[in-house]
Amino acid sequence: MDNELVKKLKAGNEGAFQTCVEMYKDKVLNTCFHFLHNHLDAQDTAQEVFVEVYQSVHSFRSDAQLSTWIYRIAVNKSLDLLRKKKRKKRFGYVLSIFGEGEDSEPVYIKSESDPLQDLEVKERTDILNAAIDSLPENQKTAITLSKYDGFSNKEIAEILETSVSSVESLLHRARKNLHNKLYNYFEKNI
Amino acid sequence: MNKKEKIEQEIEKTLSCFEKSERLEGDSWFYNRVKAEIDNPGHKRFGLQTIWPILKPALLVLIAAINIFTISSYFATPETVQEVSREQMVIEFAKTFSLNSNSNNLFIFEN
Repeated sequence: MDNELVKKLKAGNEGAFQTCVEMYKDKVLNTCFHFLHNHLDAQDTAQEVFVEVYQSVHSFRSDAQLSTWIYRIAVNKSLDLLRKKKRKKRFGYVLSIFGEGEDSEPVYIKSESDPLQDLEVKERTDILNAAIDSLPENQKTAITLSKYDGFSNKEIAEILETSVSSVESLLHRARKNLHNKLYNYFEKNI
Repeated sequence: MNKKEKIEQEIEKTLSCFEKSERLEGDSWFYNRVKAEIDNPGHKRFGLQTIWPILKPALLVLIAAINIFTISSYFATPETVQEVSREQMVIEFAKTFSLNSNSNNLFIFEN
């Protein structure tokens, strides 16, 4: 099915592109969100992902899976935005004088469950995300794709264009570092 | 329960947030927005954000130039004023006492 879709995409078929967007938009959106932790940034980045898919599908090699290629673009775009934001932070003060560079606050969707429990989950998620964000970029990418997005080690290896054993090693180090960071945090805050 | 066990419990609870993570769903207008972006590339980036990359270095150069000018004028002003006033003082002095630049009063212009 992928091959047929790729052929049509390469031929510039709009219907095929719409099918592709509808098929992958949720997964791409969530992948971006798990890296960026911000709804609006995730929406914008996911849109950019599909724009790039449309514009560079002719360079896509059919020996790889279309989904893997799309997720790779999503990961790269998200990491690019994070790097850009990091750079922007250095000019944060100057930018704030001009009313620019202020990141919009993340929007949390209220669920119908217990608000206190929601608050606790939100707080813990913030702690977890902060710990993940402080990991080296490759470890952060591997653990986000594995734990948040539920990709298998093989899929992660394809997305990151590396071997499965490298992914296993990355995940092992990421888990260990994450545990240490959380341990240090709770040691000070309990 | 000792502190270490308590911390481990907290870590476990925190790591369980991976499973409780929020799932987003693309709205029905998602494709239309993507298509609009393809048809009109960069239409979102309008206003200050568009010119900001050019404006930023220009602004920095301007601020640096103002600083250099302020510093140089701050240090230059007293000396210039002093020089001018000294010269003017001599001229005024010569005018007041009707002195001409002949051999009798040349000493005034020396130094």
